[in-house]
Amino acid sequence: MDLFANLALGFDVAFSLTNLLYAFIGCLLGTLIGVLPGVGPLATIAMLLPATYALPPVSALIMLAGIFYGAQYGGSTTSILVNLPGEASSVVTVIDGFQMARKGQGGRALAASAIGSFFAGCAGTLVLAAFAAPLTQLAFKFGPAENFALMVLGLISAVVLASGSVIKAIAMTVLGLLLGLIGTDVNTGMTRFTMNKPELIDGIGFIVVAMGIYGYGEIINTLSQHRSERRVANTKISGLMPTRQELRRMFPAIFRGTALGSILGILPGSGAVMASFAAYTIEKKLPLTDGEVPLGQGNIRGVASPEAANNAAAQTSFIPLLTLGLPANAVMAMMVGAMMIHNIQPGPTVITSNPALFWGLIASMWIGNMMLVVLNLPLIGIWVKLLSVPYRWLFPSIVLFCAIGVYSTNNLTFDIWLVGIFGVLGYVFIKLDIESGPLLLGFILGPMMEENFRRALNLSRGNWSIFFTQPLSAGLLLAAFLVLVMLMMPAIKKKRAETFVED
Amino acid sequence: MHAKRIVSGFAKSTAFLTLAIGLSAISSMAHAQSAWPTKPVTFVVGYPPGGQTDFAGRVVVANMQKELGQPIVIDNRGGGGGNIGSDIVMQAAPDGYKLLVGNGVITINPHTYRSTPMVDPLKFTPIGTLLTSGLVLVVPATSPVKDYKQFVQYIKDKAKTPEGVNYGSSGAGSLTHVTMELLRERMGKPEMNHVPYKGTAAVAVDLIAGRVDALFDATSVISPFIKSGQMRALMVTSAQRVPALPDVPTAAEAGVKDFEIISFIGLYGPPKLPADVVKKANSAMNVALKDATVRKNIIDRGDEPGGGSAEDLGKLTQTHFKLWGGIVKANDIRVD
Repeated sequence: MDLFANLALGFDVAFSLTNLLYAFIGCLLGTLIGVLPGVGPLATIAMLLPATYALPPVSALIMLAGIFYGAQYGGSTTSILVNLPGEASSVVTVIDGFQMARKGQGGRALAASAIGSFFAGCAGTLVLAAFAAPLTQLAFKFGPAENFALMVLGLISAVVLASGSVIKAIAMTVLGLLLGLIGTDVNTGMTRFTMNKPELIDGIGFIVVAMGIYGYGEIINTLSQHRSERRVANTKISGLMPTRQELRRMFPAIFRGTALGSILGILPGSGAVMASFAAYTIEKKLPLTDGEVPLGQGNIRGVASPEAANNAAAQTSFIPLLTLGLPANAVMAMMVGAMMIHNIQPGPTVITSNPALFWGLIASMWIGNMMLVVLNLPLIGIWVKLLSVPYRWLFPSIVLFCAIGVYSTNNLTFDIWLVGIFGVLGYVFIKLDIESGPLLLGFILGPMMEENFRRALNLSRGNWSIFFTQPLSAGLLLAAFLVLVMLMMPAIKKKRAETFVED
Repeated sequence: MHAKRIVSGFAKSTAFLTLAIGLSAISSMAHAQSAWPTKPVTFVVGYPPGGQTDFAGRVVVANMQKELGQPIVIDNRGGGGGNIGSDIVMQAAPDGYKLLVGNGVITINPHTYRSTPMVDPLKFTPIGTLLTSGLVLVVPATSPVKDYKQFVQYIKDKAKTPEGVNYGSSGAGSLTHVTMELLRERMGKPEMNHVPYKGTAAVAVDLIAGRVDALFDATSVISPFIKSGQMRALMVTSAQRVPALPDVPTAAEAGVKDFEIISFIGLYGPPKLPADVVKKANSAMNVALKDATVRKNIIDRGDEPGGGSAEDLGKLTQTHFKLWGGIVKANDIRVD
């Protein structure tokens, strides 16, 4: 079959010594910057772009792709160990990952994340290789109405996802939506809620909100407790590897996450975020086996499944990029820039005009994923030891690195103040016992949802039937409605209450 | 800021040491008059790393610093529609150590933003044009329109149907938006509905899928779709045909007179920048833009290398400022 011949060509390209070296450099660099909170792959790729002028195009792209996965992986490390999601897609990893770290199971959580990511990466690469061409047609089917319907489904699931009070979850989602509205309205170009601050015209960055609410909020909370009652992390680390029982629970979760991630990753914009949230929601809905702690309190499935989902989505998000030249996110846009600098026009012709590049990149994705596991499994011991650093040293370093990371995007001190404000807000949320996940999801999806909603109505000249006459959009809205009904059904409501009452 | 300055060689000059000790700002200005630059120069970019403006700055830096004998530091100050960076240079001392890599959008912003104050681009001291890029008018490949003449007829006919005409842009008040408004004026103002998007990727999907009827966008981002046969190009707005699209006529060839619109990125200094600094910076920039690798990097990206005198950039800034002022007012385009 063609697929194997193509993959053979790809591995032929990727397995050259120099390309392996660039893949390794990329993964290592990516892991390092991913572990530093706030310093994202975007800034790193922008800085390194000029340095890749001199490299052959395949090597340059292999290295940049390595940075991309590495950063994603490194971001999960900080999510789990110090409650700092470096990227939107690792927000849900924080929930159970950090709880596990507190119980001294940080090593197991990291291993679960590594194994889940690796498996999903392999599967995602296969999907990419086999279905890249046919799947591109799916992306075209997603117009404004379909995008809107998909996001409605996502937001409603977010309410289902939250533990405890539904009212709180809705309130947080709405607060997130409102925060997301700050900045320039895409449809009219008007600025909203900017209080005449030019720094707010482009809106608030995701990193600013995430660092503040999760990172700084947690630090303030820890510092507010007396030293004797602090539960920073259990210094007694119980095993670096998951137990056999945990592995048995983890694997089906990884399969589910991978499947979801592979599908949602193809959609431009919100794929990876939606995938990780959806994966977590599903895990939460599944019944617990005997002796398993509920999700939200440090369940390994809550780490493995969303991590698999976001990594699978990271792979399949290359589909619109490579076949249409349409970047799914800012990092992908940088990759387009990198290709153009090397005189490669991304787009439908890239598979035929540059088969070595296309298949080489795909093969190198697999190699990159393997390299990450090889690189990170031994490092887990070192990362976990980080937690034995006394808190009086650990917290100032986290505060400092977050500030540097946030500052480095726009070089604005204003952003650092914002992180501080969100830190206080995060502390208030912890005190009020409110989960922040829905806020983040509302913050990310809200503006996109509004944009697509109004665009759809703009295109239909205000005719609302556009949402129901398109089969895809109608189907997604129907699914959202069913989720809502499930939420309201008394039996499920009762079960919710049982599952999510805090001890 | 200070941390970012790179000390290039300890014994560079006594002048530098004097500065480092920080004896007086006045002495540094006196030095600037005669021997600029005696310390690292900062290029302020009003956008985060990675975009076209950032590229325009970075692509010439290596050659320019060789020419000037001092390091050049790129300082990305994103936000505020590029205005935060512009404002920093507007407020900077006219000593030549803080220059702006300014996107031509600075000539549109003051007209479209009415309540947020935007810097007046005419107050900058122009130094030279770094790069330019034309726009291309595209329709979906499935559209029956084959050339500009058919386009006008098609738009006029479709505007009368209940469905109407939708055109996309990469943002309200962006160059791609105001350019289509200008063309609409030339076509006799048929009814056309503006559908703004955030950037090119999203609007490209909807154009290819036929959800929007027409779009103006930079040749560098659109040409792959034209080559792959998913979009059809009707004309380019640059004075000459674009190397990437040799078969696409210019606006003049297609029958639209006086329709030369380019997006440009220039190097600007603060108001009242001394003439000798402008001259030195301009010649260093021109040397950099003649370098074969620099040219290749710019052209490969789909842009055109700039160059020319400081007056050329001044004229470019002025004409675009006047042009957009008229269009924005006539069509009541506003951003806030």
